[in-house]
This record gives sequence, C-alpha cells and structure tokens, in this order.
Amino acid sequence: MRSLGRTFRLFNFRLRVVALFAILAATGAEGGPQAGTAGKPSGVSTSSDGFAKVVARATAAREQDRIAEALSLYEQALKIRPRWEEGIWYLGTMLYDQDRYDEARDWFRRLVALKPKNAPAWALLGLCEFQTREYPKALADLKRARFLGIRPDDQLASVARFHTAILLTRFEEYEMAYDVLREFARDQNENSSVIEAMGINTLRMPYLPVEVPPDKREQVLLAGRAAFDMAARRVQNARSSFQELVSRYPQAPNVHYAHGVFLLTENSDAALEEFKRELGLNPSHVPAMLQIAFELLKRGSNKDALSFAEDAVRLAPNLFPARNALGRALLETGDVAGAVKQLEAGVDLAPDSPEMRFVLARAYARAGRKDDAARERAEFVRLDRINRTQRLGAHSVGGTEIPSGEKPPGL
Amino acid sequence: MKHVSTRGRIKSFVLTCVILTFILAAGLRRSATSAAIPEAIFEEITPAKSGISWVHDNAMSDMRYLPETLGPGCAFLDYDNDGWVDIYLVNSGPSDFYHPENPPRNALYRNNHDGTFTDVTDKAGVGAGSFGMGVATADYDNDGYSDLFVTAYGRCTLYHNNRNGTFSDVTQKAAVAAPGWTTSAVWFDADNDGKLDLFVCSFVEFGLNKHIFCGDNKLGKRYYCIPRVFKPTSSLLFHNNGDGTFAEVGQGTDIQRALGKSLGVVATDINNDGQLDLFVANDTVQNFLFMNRGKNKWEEIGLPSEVGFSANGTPRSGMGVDAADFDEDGWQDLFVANVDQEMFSLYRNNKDETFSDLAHQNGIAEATRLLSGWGLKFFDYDNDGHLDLILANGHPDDMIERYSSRVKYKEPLLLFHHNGARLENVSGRGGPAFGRSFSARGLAVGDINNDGLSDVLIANNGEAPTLLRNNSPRENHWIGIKLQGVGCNRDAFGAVITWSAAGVRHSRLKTSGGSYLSSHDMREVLGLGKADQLDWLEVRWPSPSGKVEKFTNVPLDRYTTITENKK
Repeated sequence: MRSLGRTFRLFNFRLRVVALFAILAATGAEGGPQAGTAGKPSGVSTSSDGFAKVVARATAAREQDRIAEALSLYEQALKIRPRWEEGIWYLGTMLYDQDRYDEARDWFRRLVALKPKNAPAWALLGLCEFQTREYPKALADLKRARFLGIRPDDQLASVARFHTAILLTRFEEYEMAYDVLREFARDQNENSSVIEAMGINTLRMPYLPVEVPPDKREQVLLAGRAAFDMAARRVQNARSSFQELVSRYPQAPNVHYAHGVFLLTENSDAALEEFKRELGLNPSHVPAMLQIAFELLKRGSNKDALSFAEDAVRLAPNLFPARNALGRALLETGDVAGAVKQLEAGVDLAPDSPEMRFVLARAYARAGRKDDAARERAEFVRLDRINRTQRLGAHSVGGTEIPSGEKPPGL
Repeated sequence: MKHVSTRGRIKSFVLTCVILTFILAAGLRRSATSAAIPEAIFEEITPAKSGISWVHDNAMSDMRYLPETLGPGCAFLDYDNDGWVDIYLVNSGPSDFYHPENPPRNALYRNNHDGTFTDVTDKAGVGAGSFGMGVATADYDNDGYSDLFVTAYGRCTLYHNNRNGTFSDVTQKAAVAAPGWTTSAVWFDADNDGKLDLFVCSFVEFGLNKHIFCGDNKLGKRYYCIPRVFKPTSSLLFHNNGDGTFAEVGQGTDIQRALGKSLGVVATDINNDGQLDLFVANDTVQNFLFMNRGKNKWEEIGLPSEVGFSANGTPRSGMGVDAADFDEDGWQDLFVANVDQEMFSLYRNNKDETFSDLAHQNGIAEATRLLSGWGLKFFDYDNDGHLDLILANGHPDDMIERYSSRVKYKEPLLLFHHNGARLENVSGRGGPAFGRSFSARGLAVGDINNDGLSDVLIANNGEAPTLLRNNSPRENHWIGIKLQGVGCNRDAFGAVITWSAAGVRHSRLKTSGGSYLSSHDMREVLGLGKADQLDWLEVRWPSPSGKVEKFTNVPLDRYTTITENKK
C-alpha cells in the first residue's frame, strides 16, 4: 500500500470486519455466521469454557478497537481450535487493515483451504498477494473469487474487480481486462483510478498504474476517458476524446488501434483505415492485423482476411486468436485440412477458449470427422456456459440444463 | 436450370433497357417522363384509403418495461370464408405494469373487396384484454374456418371461429392460456394425426418483481434491457386432442429442456421425412432447431446444424425467421434476422441436417449490418417463379441514437429480388415506403385484392400499421391455390405442391408460421413467369393422408380451391 498508494486512492480498501461478515453470510459463504451474530461465533462449543472465554475477550477487544490485543487473543483461540473459520477470518481481516499483508495472506490461505468456495476469502487472499507483489498468484486467486461470485454491489467486489483488471492488463490480457473494466462503466462507477486503468489498458501498456512513466500520464488519462465513455455508451463524448487522442498523439503506439476499435461498430470502413495506420507505424502490430482479419471475415472477404491472418500467425504463433483467424479464413476458403491444423494448434494454446472449440468443431464437421466434431462441440458448450456465466451472469445462458460439477477454466 | 438462366438474362437485359430509356428520357425532357417511370413495386395504402384507423399503443413508459418494445404482430386471414383476406392486428393491454383507463384493443378488419376495410372487432368479439404480442391463425378444429390464437405478456387467448362472423374465447376449455410471456406461435401437425397442434414461443421470465434497472443513472434515463439479463424459459408444445382441448406435451422433451428466449418460429420439414420440424429464433442465446423424430421425440440440433450460433460461436439476437426452398433444390432453407452488428443469416440446407450461411453471397449480410430485423417472408412478389424476400426492421431501443451515430431507432424496409441465381437488393425500386423508416415488428404477406400479387402488412410498434399494395407489372402468370385437406389437417400445412410450366419444374412446401408474431394468407400464389400455360400441378398431401394428386386443368391468373380427394 505504501509504494502503490496513489493507485488506490479510490480503492483504498479498509475492512469493516463486521460488515464483511455480513458479506460472507449474504454470499452464502460456507461457515460464516449470520449477520448480527458476529459476536457469537458459530461452531463455538459452550462446553469448552477456556475457548469461549478467549473468544469473548477477543471479540470485546476487536469491538473496542484494541486491535493488538484482539490479534493476540484470536491467535490464542486459534491455537485451541485451529479450524475455527470465523477466527481465521477476523484475524486475516484485522491484519489486512494493519497493512500486515504477508501475515494476512497466510491466514486467508488457511481459510480457503478450509472453505474453497468462499469467494470473499479468495478475493482477500488475492488482494493480500497483490500487496506482497505475488502478482501471478494474486491474479489467479482474484479470478477464482470472480468465478465463485461476490455480491456485485459490494465494495469488496468492486475492489477485487479493479485489481483483477489492472493485473490482467499488466499480464497483457488486454481484452479480458477491458471486459472487466467495462463493468465499472456499466455500473457508472466513474473515478480517476478507473479512468487511469482504462487508459493503460487502451494503450496496451503492460503496467500497473504506478508503473506508468510520468510523461505518458496525460495520454493515458485521455485514452482512459475515451475508453470509459465508449464503455458507458456515450458515443459523442467518446468520439471527441478519441479524435483528440489521435490528433495529439498521432505517432504514439496503439492510439490508431484504439480509435479503430471504437470505430468498428460506428464505421467499420474507417476502423479498417485506422488499423492500417497503426500497421503503418508498427508493421508488426498483431492485434491490428487480427482486427482487420476478423472484420474481413465478418464481411465475407475471406481471401483478403487470409493474408492478414497468415502474417499474424507468422509473427505470433503462440497467440490463439491468430490461429483462430487463420483457421477460419482457411475454412471459409475451402482449405479444410489447413484449417484443422491451425485450429488444433489454437486449441492447444487455449484449451479453455469456447470460440476455439466452436470453430474447430466446424472444421472437423467439414472434414467429415463426426466424432471429433461432437467432442469439440460438447467442450464448446461446457466452456461457453462457464464463460458466459462468469462474464454475463447465469441468465445469459440458454440451451439444455447445465451439467453439474464444472470447474472454472484455468484453475 | 439452363432455361431459367436464359430467362434471367433476358429479363435483366430488358430491365437494363428500361432503365437506360428512363435515364435518357429524363435527361432530354424531365417534365414528360412521368409516364415512362417504372411503377414502384409497392404502394402504401394510407389509413384514409384503407379505412384502417387502428394504431398500436406500445404503452411506452419512463420505466421502459421490456414488453413495451416487442409488439405487435398482425395477420392476414379470411375469417368469413368469402375469398378475400381480412386483417387482424394485435395491441397492448392491461398488465401488471400497465393500467390504462381506456385499454387498447386488438382489431379485426373485414375486407370490403374494394381496397377498403371495416372494423368488425366488436361484432366478432376478438378485442382481447391482455398485453398482446402476436397472433397465429389456423383452422385447428378442421371445421373450415380460421381460428385465432393471440399470444401475450400475460394470458394467451384462443378464439374459436363460430362460422357466423363471431368468435368465442375458448382458452380455458382448450387449456392453452400459456401464462408468462409468449411471443410467436405456430399451428402445425406435429404428430401427423390430421389435427393441428400448437407451438408457443416463450420469451423470458418477466414481471414487476423481476424488472431490472437498465439505463444511465447520471442522465436519470432508463432504457430497454438487453434480454440477456432475464432468465430464459422453455417454450410450449400443445397437442390437439381433437375434442377442443389440448395437452402440453413438450414436458420431458428437448422442447422443455432447451431454455431459450424465443421470439420467432417456423414449422418446416428440414430433412424431407414428412414430419414438420421447428426452427426457433432466440434473443441473446442460441437458436434452436427442433427435429421431429416422431412419436413426440424432439431433438434439438441447433449447434451441430450450424444455425444456433454465429460463425465464431456467439449467440445472436434472433428475432424473425422463415423457411423456404429459396434455391429450388428441393430442400428447405432457413432465414433468421438479428440485431444490428450481427447481420442476418440465410442458411442453405446442405441436405444432411446441416446448413451453410449464404448471407454474404446474397448481399444480405452487408445490407443488414446496421439493422435489427423482425417480420420477414420469402415470397414471389413478381410471380417470376423465384422466391424473393422482404425484411421489416426497427431497433428495439428507442434511445439507440444516443449511443450510436449510425444505428437508428426507425429503420428502412428491405426488398430482395431473386434473379434466378441469387438475391439482389432492390429496395430502391420498392416504392416510397422503402425510402421511409419504421419501428416495424410484425409482417404478414397476403393478397388483399386477389390480383395474384402478394401484398404486405407491417405492424409498427407504437404506430399505425403499414399496408403495402403490390403494383408489380402484370407480366407474369400465376396460379393461386387454397388447399383444403380432408384426411390431413384442413389447412394442409406440410403439403408439397409441385408444378411445371413451360417445362420448368418448381416445388413448394406449405410451411406454417415464420415472420415475427404474425400469420400470412393461407393461400399459395405460384408464379409461372412468362409461361402461359400450366403443364401440371401435383399435391402431396401431408400425413396421415400422404396421398398424391395430380392436376392439369388448374386455371391461370386466378385462385382455385383444391380439396383433397375431390379431383
């Protein structure tokens, strides 16, 4: 928090432990007490006088803000009952509030081991790991919390969402990060941290907000404003901001690309021109190549799409969207064997991508490989449901019943 | 096919000459060219001329309840069997979110045989009372008169035709109230027992207590929610018991298992097995293709057949649908209209229960990129023997222009002409109505003046309907037939009509449903092109009859009733 302070001035998340207990209860977290019973932990045996007395003292200390004493008493209680989930929760959250992130992290790890479906605990673990700069772990745990679901109107959800997005951006998962950031626009949660995060994402900078060079700050904020307006469907404002961005930074990387993405639904011809301008500045700009390829595929200009997709695969053979674009272009131009090869490579790169499975299934069907097609379709259905449930909620999923026991992708 | 292509080239050449002549004349002497201007294909018949003064009340409120934006439907039907199609229009009505002092009502207009219509709603007793959505017409009890099924947000209504100009509400007795939110419906004989069954599309779980805020807090504005935020539902299949009652038989089948947000449905025979299948368009979730495997076994194959999702695996916002053998290869093709940016799809039947999207090759994709489509229909508007296509469009969100500079709330109609090889966009020749924009929803096709040129009725959201009279040049011959089943269902849905004129063979399956919330004229108009005589016409009646009858003496350029076993 100290070194990253500015980033989180609006996401400076201090735990209100009693309130957070309510979160646990409301989200159906396992083992959490009902709201209003925080002072009387569940699972406490009244026959165990020693434990009960320590718990009572710990609770009183916590409620009276005697945090150091409360920490000591909770640790004491947990020595008697090491699996006392509520005690672990209080201890972890108090340590988090004391900026003792490494200790808090360890307690939350214990908690998720006991309660693996507890989304708020996973979120707090991810936030602790973020503070201890264990970024890959932080991202994985925040993703898991997201999958399990935190009540969306909760402050913790908002903080977890923000950190998920900035970590995704840092790890260059820009499209996924944008999808997460867009939720702030949907909720009209507009603040300078979100604008900044959106700007970094839009300009495809693999940085956390604190890592952005000072001379890029203005450009980032302008891009962020444009992107936020785009996500909030304020088209006129977004158009003005993008035009200003392009006119002030015409040579900057990703500016024309970002403008092109905005233009895709507004004026796809102009979008193609912007992607080509980006390629003029950076002939190796794979996302621009892919945007052009996918737009041409959408238009049915499959032969034209082919060359852009081939270039993208040549430059980024490990990028699954490139394999997807090339596979689709080959499929639509009649090279079924070539399509299968590309799409299989894409599935190897991204086995949890429903889009890859879908197109591969089409290619197998075209090749007469019925069993393979059926297998890929089944996998598509499974992954698509998980994916859409995560992104858009359970109501966005149609079709026949959802099989139980599905695990989230990438976990 | 060679003959057809040659004719197409000749037609194209003639058309080019006409256009060149027109341009030349316009350049020489503008004031004298009016007589040379080719007549617009469609002419809008104003309410003042038609007598149709009814206006749809969409009940639009600041709360932007979703049912407000999805209606209405319309129908062409000959309710009094006088040989002239009448018009039925569906309106909103009281519901849990709408309590009007003077409830809007549906309307039945009788055709006066002179281009005008008279409102006979009160006499007929078909004003309904719930928040209406669409209408499906058919003779479900095989008594020779068309009945009406009206879908709704709320209670559906089944009106039985009393054969004396009045109808009775038999919903309760028939047990087809289908509560919830129903949209399109289709009558068809699911089990080939000679009695029409009923499939009813169910949209989403909706109600005052389930209403979701969608909008912009800063502006204090609500807008219509994208339906993905609402819970999907199962559509319903009612089996006709033959005694005026129905039993819901979708339970336990894929029809019940497949949760959708269904808006459009057409009954057609995908695999030519003599059993009518169902293509169902869903909004924001995948489309369904329910294959009828017999004995009430339904298999949903939207995904493997490649009509469920877009080419990259995304569910789209399917709304209007239709089925027809547009490429005349003997297999039913499919069409589905989607929302803007998604483009509409024209699916060619690959003859193996899979489809390929030919929207790009036919100019459909490009023309519909910024449009949202609802009512639509394949029909041969110029009787040249090839199926053309009309599309009615309009964005569901009345505030879309705040968010997009190019997508509009009111959108133009589109008309595609089949030139013998492919569809081409001829909207520019459609007439003045094709230069206007509409908040179109339902669309029905029927011949209001019995001239063999199919006319079009469009039901607009929150506005008066649009009636388009077909003024195509009378240069092609035609045959109009009304099929009357005896052993099979009376409306003969599922019949296959095959005919030959000047040595060119054509075929048409009598489908049911299609479009959006609407029902078409029951009669089939078969275009003969320039051929001045019919070689023969064959009807293969649907099961349980299955009988094949051949006719050689069907008169041209008029309607004929063909009754099964009455040759």
